[in-house]
Amino acid sequence: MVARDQENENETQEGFEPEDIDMIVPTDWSSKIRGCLSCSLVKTVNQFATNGCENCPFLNMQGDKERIMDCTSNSILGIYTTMNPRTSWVAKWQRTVKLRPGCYAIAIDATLPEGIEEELSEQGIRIKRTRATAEATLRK
Amino acid sequence: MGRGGAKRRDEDEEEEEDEDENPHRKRMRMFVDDEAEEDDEEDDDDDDDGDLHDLIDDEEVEAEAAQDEVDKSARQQRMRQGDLLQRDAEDIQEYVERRYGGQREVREVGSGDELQTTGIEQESLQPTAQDAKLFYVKCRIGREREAVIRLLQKHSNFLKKGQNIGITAAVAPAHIKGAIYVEAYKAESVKNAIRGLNVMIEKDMQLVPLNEMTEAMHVATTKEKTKVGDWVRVNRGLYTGDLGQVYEVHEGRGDGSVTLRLIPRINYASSKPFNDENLKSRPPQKLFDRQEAERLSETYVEEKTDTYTGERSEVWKGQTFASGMLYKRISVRQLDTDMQEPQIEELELFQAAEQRMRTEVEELEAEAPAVPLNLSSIARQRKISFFPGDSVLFIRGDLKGLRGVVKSVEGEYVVVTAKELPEPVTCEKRDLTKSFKIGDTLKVNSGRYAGDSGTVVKVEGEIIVLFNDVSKEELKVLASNLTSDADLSAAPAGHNLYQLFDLVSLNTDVRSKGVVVKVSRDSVTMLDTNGNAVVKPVQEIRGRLNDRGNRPGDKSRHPISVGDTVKVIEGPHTNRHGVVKHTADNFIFFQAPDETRNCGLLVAPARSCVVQGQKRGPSFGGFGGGGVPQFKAPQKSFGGGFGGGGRGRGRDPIIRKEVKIKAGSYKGYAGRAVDASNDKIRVELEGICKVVTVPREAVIPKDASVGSGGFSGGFGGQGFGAARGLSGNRTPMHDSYGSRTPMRDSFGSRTPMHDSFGSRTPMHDSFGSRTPLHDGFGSRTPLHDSFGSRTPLHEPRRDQFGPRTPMGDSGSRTPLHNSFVNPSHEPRTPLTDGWRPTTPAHNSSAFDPNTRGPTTPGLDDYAYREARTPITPGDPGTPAFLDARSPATPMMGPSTPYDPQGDSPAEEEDSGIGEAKAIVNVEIEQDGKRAYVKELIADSEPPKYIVHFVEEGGTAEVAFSDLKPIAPEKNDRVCLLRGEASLVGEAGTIIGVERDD
Repeated sequence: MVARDQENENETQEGFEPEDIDMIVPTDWSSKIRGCLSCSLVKTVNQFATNGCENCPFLNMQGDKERIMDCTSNSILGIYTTMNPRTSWVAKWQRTVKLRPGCYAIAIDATLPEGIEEELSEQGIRIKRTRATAEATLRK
Repeated sequence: MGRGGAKRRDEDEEEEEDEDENPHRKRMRMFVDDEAEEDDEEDDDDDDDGDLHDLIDDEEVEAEAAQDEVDKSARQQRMRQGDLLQRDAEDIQEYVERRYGGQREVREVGSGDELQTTGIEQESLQPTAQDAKLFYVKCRIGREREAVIRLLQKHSNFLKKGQNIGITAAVAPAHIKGAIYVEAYKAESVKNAIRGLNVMIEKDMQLVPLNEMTEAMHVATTKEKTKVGDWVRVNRGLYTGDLGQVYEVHEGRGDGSVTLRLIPRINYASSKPFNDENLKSRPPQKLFDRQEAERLSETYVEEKTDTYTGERSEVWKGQTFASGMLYKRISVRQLDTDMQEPQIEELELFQAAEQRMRTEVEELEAEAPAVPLNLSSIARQRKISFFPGDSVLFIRGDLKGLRGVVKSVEGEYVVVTAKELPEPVTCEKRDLTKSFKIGDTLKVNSGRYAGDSGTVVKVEGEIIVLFNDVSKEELKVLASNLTSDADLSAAPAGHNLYQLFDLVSLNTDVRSKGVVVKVSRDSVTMLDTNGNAVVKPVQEIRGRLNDRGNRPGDKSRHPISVGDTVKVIEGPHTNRHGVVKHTADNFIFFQAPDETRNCGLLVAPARSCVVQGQKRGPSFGGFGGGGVPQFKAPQKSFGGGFGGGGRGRGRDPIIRKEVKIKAGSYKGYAGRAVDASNDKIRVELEGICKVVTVPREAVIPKDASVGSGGFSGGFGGQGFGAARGLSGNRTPMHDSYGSRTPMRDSFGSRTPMHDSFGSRTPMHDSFGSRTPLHDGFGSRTPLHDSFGSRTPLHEPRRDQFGPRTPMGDSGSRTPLHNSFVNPSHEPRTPLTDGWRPTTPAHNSSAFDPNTRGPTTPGLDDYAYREARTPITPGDPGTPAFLDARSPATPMMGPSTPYDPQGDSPAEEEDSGIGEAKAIVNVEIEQDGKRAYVKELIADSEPPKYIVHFVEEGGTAEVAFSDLKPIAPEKNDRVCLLRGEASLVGEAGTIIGVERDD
């Protein structure tokens, strides 16, 4: 199901860059899915545990369930999938144009814990704010 | 994010400009060498970046941003060169997105106030004609998420095969069911994409218009997140229902949890002080008491100082306390953020905690807590109704701390004027809280004391202490519940709604009923069924109740209805008696003559009472004290009174009579009355097989004509009707004469009377005073006695009554009525004729055979009752009763012939005089001349009457004592008429009436 290992063939696709074809498809759509609190990428907990967040490797969620729980949330309000974010208005509106094609949350009702956010900004790491996570920050 | 707001705004504007320019610029680029321009822009950018990074002072970020910039330029170049014209616009957008979007991300790290900017940025992303289009596609309900993920999967699969379906995105918004949006440049792409997916429904694909595209991405407003400082209520566990303040929010897991500040409920002595199993016996809320905790639990309290904030706290048995409050971590799910009105008591506890906190900060030099216990912030979470004229305090925004006055209210916005402001400002309700000064006159508009008003004597933050000028009580009220007195006029005028002796129920508990015993400005005092007099604001009163249909059974299951005399045989009011004023479920409210409180009203369960005597008419007689205008009472007396005619209790004489309906939708129908209540009659219609319920007023007996005129020449009964009409107070007579069952007569005559009744209402008072009348002949009708006995007024007079024969009553009464009825009764004069001769006749005849003897002395209350006793059981079957009635009934026969005799002269004269109101035949005691009374000279003392001599004509003034009513000839008895009447005041209220006989 996961299509991300198909990178080699991608070059043949005109107009697509390698990462465009590297889609992150949630393996489930039940309540198991969670959204990354940085980029709003939606996957299952297991997917986060296996690969972390493809957009936000700096969150270091790989294999760290505790960290996943802190850096993702299940309070997702609507999802969308981007097949070709570069040409998608939806992606533009949600500000996920530059992010990997995949499934994202339209809105997320949670924010990164302040501690983690501070820690990242101390390291000079930019959080991949999308509309979903930015608005969540605003609501806070 | 260290950037100033002004700077940011500048940049945003610039960005916007950029956006606007885009299309043109794009075209320009096609023909002009835009490298130069590009360079310019880059320069600008660099400047911006410089600023930005200076402020941020973060080299790494800067480095990254720079790198990003390089990447972007490269990408732009590439895109600009090799792209299709069609995609240009989009590229430019993207270019902007990249140029500024990247920076935005940098900016947003740790940013605190993106509030304004995000909105504008988001605006710039509005869809354009060049963007891919959204298509609204149906899918199976509940599988929206699956659908978009499957589309993604399908797209991925196709890409692997080297094919591109052509869709760019798919959206499953939370607020849409059974449909998703698929984004593509061509509808064909969408069709291809959804083909073969079983979650999708292929038909009815719709293109979403450009201006509705953002709607698809709309985020349904989520419930407000719990924030630090919020006031919430716990909905589970030991602290269920308790007010708490959010001290810390813990995100991440599930819905997250919060640390709350609560007023602890601890039983220090208990081994499980935090056991929350038994909610019923939970300890009361009390601030944490360190000494007590240590003493009772023998567990030391540790002191802690937070390394971060420097806040001091105490730890006891693993629980953290500070300033007496418990700090408890609770899942967000256990919270009700929908704040209910805090109670004064709760706030007082928190105020005490706040006070403690303040002392700690001052005396112990402890660090001030990071989260202030700002009690006024409670107001922010409440819905406060502002009224023009309210003094308010700004609690948020630029004007925080400023006081002003509400000028007007428009929905969620309030216009406030303040001295400091040149012109009124419009602000949101949540920016404001009410604020009052000592000395303000305020009204409470909600909460426990709603409806009260008073003067502010103390202000303790949110809590205002009012001194009620009426009740002389101090009220503690929340500021938000108060409003300036200025708008009092706009408030409902409470006291017009309810009157004394209204049976009412409460809003709070519909089943609780009570009778109004006191009416004050905004509240009423109500005697409830428990016998307590409770003060209720008018707002809490649901409304008046009609208890006519409610007839609870007494001890022996006889239905008790309003107007009955009851005696209590059980319970606290044993041996007390009175007239039932209201019935509420199984309780009766009765007015006891010996009760001084609550307007003499007592309440007792119906089952502990017995109905006294027979059905009686003058249910309204006892209202002297109450003064409630109940002009319907006569109707009641009507039904009840006539019921006595040997037919058994409560039986309405109209039943089984042929009647005609004179009004309403069945007007003109004839039928037979099958059932009757006080104001309604059920009629079995002749024409159609149907039983209908019609108002009593709309029914007349078939053989009686309407109006007074029809009765002339009728038998006595009609006269009574007339007489009664003259003065409602005479109704009791019906009882006694009821035996004649001239129901319809009086009926007919009654109808026009109602008017006069209304106007005569104030006279009811006089009833009481006149009661002795009833005594006199009331002996026959048990009720009358209660009458007399109920009104203390009578006491002194009773002595004077001396020996009275019932005959006299009617006679003597007549002039009395005359006297006070006079002003209003002209039109009824003709009616009276009939009455004159017949009344005495009936009286005498009816009385002679039976109870006379015993009753006459019965004027005195005591004897009275005794006399009544045989009848009292209330059992219609009592022989005594029947006896009394049976002889009376035949009277009808004889009475009829009398009328003409007595009537004819009177009638003539009447018509001639025209002004005489009520006339009675009299005999001058000295010379035996016959005359009839024309008028009462009320002013004279002793009262005099103008009499008109029958034989020789002419009139003379005769002292009351010299007059003797004449009984009809066939009647052997002679009535001695003697009495006194004095008119007091213009209202014509009779204070005392006595008559002999």
